[in-house]
Amino acid sequence: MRKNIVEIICILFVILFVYTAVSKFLDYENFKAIIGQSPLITNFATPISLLVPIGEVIISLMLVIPAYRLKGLYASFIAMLIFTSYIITLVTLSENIPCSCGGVISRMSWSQHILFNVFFISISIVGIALESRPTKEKLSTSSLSKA
Amino acid sequence: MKATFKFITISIVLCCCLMLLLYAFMPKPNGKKNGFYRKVIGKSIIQTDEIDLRYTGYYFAGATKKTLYFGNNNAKLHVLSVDVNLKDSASKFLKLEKPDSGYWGYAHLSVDSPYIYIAEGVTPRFFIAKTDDLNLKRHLQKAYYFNAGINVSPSSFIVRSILNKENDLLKIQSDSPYVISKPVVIEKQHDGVFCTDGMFAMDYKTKSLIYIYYYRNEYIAIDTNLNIIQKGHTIDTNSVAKIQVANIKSKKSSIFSEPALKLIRCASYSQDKLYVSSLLIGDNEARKILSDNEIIDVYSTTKTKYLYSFYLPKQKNETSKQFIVIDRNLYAIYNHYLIKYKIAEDILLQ
Repeated sequence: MRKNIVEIICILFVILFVYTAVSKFLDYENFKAIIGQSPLITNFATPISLLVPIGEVIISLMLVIPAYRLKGLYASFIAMLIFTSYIITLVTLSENIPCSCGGVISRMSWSQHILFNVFFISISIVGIALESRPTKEKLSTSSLSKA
Repeated sequence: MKATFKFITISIVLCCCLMLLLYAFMPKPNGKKNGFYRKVIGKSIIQTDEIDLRYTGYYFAGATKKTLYFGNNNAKLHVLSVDVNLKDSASKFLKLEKPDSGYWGYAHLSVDSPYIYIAEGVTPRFFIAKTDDLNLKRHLQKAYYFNAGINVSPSSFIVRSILNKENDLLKIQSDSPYVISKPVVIEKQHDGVFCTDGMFAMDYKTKSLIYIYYYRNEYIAIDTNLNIIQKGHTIDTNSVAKIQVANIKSKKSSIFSEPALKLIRCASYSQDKLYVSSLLIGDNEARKILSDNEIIDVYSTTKTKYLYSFYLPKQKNETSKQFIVIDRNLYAIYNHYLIKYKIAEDILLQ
């Protein structure tokens, strides 16, 4: 049961990261320009526009390889956390927010986007909690709700 | 479990620090000195009237001595008339004689009594109706793609179109030659589209026309045959547009690739004076001015020089969407409100 949950969480992340990384690479020029429009990160547009999709692919690989799964979950958590705080900062700062999320995700509103991210952050925490327990313990409800 | 908790807490703290760092180093509008001074005149405007238009999306479409007309971006066939004292308003709907399958997304309405015009630049086509019967008929024999346009006479429009991938002004009229182009009325600095972006400001009484750029400190006064009468400069120092544009091949279009430095919000032209809502603060002004006001700079087009500035207060924490000056009055649209201000007489005489 515990293993299945972790597996589902990893699959969700892999789908998310691969989908958005591919759509970024397919339209790289556009992605880079839109990163450049963002006042917060315009000075680092080129490195960020490469780092983000490459990072997404690397994290996906980590999640697929069992030995690196826990590290991958940690990395997923950090990636989603940085992304979410970036959006929140941007939304509070200015009215015109550039967006270049891949494909269908770009149609979400900002509050939907934040909720979507919070969901992924939550499941990454659940994944970390479940994966980091070395022995097979009884899955208590308290550990789930705490997560 | 404890370790996980610690990890999460530390991550969140570090993340907040990262955002603070990014914010600290981000280029901010008006973050540096802009290199110009303003002559600000206090007590220059007084709010006299206010009316709730009940819907958002209104823009000025025209004016007579007694009535102001408004079009609405969300209802293309809707015309709202409001008396100049903002006491009464009347809502009307234009009727199409024949069903029309063209694009309406950017249709723009203008009123020059007794005619109402709709200009639509994507399909492209024009319509005309009389203010008393409201029946829209096709107008002008030929049209050409345009992305901004303004009615200058019952038989002609001045439009901004894209020729050879660059913005330029055209005149579209009812008689042959139907489309007139004068080479390079507006001048390219970077890409020819974004760098030349701007807006028309027309004096409703004299039909004098000004095109003012958004990204450089310049405006041009043109006559209705596309001849440049004069060029003037706004007081800021950005003579070359501070923009970066990337050409996106997959979309066959261009987009900004850096935050663009937009200089003005909106402009209005009345009695040889050009009123410009500026987005930049002067070196002799405090930055907090912008939290409660927008800045209006006034230029004389007869003397081609800057006269003075005044502050237009924000309403309910919003700057005006658009404003026009007619005689002594300034009308500004905020969200779904229209507010009338009286401009002090002594400053008008300057």
